[in-house]
Amino acid sequence: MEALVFLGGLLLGIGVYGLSAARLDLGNVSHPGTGFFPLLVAVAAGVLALLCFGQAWGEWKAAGARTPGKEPVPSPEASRGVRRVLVFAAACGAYIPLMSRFGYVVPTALLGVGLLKLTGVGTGRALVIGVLVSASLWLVLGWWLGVPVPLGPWGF
Amino acid sequence: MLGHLLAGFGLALSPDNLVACFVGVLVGTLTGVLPGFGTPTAMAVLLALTFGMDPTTGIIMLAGIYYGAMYGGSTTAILVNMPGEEPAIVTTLDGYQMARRGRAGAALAVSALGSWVAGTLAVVGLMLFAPPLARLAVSFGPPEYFAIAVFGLVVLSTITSGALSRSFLMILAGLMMGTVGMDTVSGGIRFAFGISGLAKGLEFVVVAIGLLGLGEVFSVVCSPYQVGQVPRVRYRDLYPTRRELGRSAGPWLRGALVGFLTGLIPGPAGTMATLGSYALEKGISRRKEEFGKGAIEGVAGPEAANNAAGQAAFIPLLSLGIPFSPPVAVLLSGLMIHGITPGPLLISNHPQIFWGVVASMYIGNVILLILNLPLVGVFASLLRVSPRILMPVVAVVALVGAYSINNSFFDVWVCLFFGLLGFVMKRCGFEPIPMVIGLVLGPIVEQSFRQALIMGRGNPLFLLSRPVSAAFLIVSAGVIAIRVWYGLRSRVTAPRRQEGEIP
Repeated sequence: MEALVFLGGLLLGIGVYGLSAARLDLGNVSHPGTGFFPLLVAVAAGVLALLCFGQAWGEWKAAGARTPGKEPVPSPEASRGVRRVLVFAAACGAYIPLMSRFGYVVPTALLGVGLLKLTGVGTGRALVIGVLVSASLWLVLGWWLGVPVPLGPWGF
Repeated sequence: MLGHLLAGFGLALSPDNLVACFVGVLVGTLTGVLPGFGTPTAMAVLLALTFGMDPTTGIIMLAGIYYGAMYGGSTTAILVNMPGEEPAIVTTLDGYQMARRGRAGAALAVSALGSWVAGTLAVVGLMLFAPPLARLAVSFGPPEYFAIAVFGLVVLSTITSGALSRSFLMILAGLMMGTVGMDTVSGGIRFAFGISGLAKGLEFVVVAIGLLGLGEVFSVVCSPYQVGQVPRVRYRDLYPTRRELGRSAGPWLRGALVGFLTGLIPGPAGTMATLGSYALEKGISRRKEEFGKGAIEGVAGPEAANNAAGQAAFIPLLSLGIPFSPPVAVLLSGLMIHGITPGPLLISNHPQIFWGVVASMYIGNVILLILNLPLVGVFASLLRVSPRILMPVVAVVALVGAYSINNSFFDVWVCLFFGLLGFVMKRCGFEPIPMVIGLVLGPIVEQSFRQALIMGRGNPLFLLSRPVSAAFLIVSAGVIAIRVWYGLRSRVTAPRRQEGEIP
């Protein structure tokens, strides 16, 4: 079922891409325009995505036929795993506006501590590792290599 | 050639380049040892470190990470039956069995020595074959480049795990991603959908960190791996017996040859090389029954092949400018960031880079041998770091690395998006590597395709009128036909085999 949803999303993306390509200058075969190659790729990708969708649909139906009346239910551990990933990704997402607002050092340390806590590391250990990772990355990137890391209201 | 090589050694032995080589191979070994921290991710994150360096120094460091990871992957395979890198899967078969019989030290020593022998031989091959190939490639035009890139994509799609149709779909998705941003021919902006960050295109390194690095982190966070008991390896255990060394010499040399030839083929060369070498050693061995139970040939051959393949993969990059695997594609990005156009003119226009990197590989292989034997216990102890600690650290480093490439918050969003996409793709049975390679080769394919059509006045058969492009396209079509035929045949025979009609 997950593969079907993924392929459905992919088909939608290919459709949007293909329509955008068709609106570009296509030129002709002897002088291909900006949209010529993308349109060719979109058509090929669309056909293949439909084929893959058909295969995945067939597999899903076959799995349903083997166990009639029973939808395959993900195990509680698998569901917990996916939830962990979503929370993990949300924490990473929150880091980006925080870094642009408060600079590099503090949000990076907070992200480190937060992610370590999410994976079940104790508070003390998470604090030490998070701060160490943030400080060492800042030392290497900002101080040693001169990468212009964003500065917060505190000047670091 | 000797003069160039000596000049290369002069460069590679300068303090800066020696330090870069040492840091590169050390980081590479750590990357190989630590599960979840893939080689392309490590190289992509450390790409930022090379910005302030001289181009030769930067490329020496990145190359060191790549071939250093080949050494490190075997440590975990032998000690805990867990390959640090994909090619080391084969090493688990006999290496772990040797460890269980108390011969872990000998297996590690044979693996390190074989890696050194094969790595050094492969660098000789690189030195001998890359310059003539580059001279030949100077005469290549758009049809040849199009055909070589298509060949690379076709071979890659047929050898990555999973269905052929799915691999092709991912390659096409990568090609589509490669068209986002500025059109190199007309200069117009395409597929940006009003998002200013997309106008400059999708940064390959950022996408690679997301798909391959963060995607792996999310997969491990979803289902954490367990590391078993890590055996202690003492220095005095690292001596293989004379008999073990005698049995390893042949596999080292054969593995070096298999690996070198496989390294020239697009795709996961290391994995193909180790599988090929293992099959060869088992096929010709008089002790077939020992394979899978701790045969030293099963460790020596694949480990040699793995390292030879890694170094042979530099030939298409340095002579044609075409990368066929994600780590080599990161190296390509490294060259371009330093304003160097990879391709057939690289060796003649920037001989210091080519010969400096070649010389550094000789030195790097020696450093790796010295590092890997006495410090194997230290590297093994890193395995005790729990994924609960490791994965958050990798995630932080990946996000910071994505930011540091262009100092762009947009790139961090892109990295996170592709991280989630990589996780979903893996769950749904889609390999992310073909997508990454499609993205890298996309601009080459499109540009050469359009130019070839213009040259042929719109006649696509023009691509078959030149011998090199015709050869590559015919071989590509043959590869697809064979794979489709095998796929269809297995569909027909599988049900009959299940019913017992076919033995």
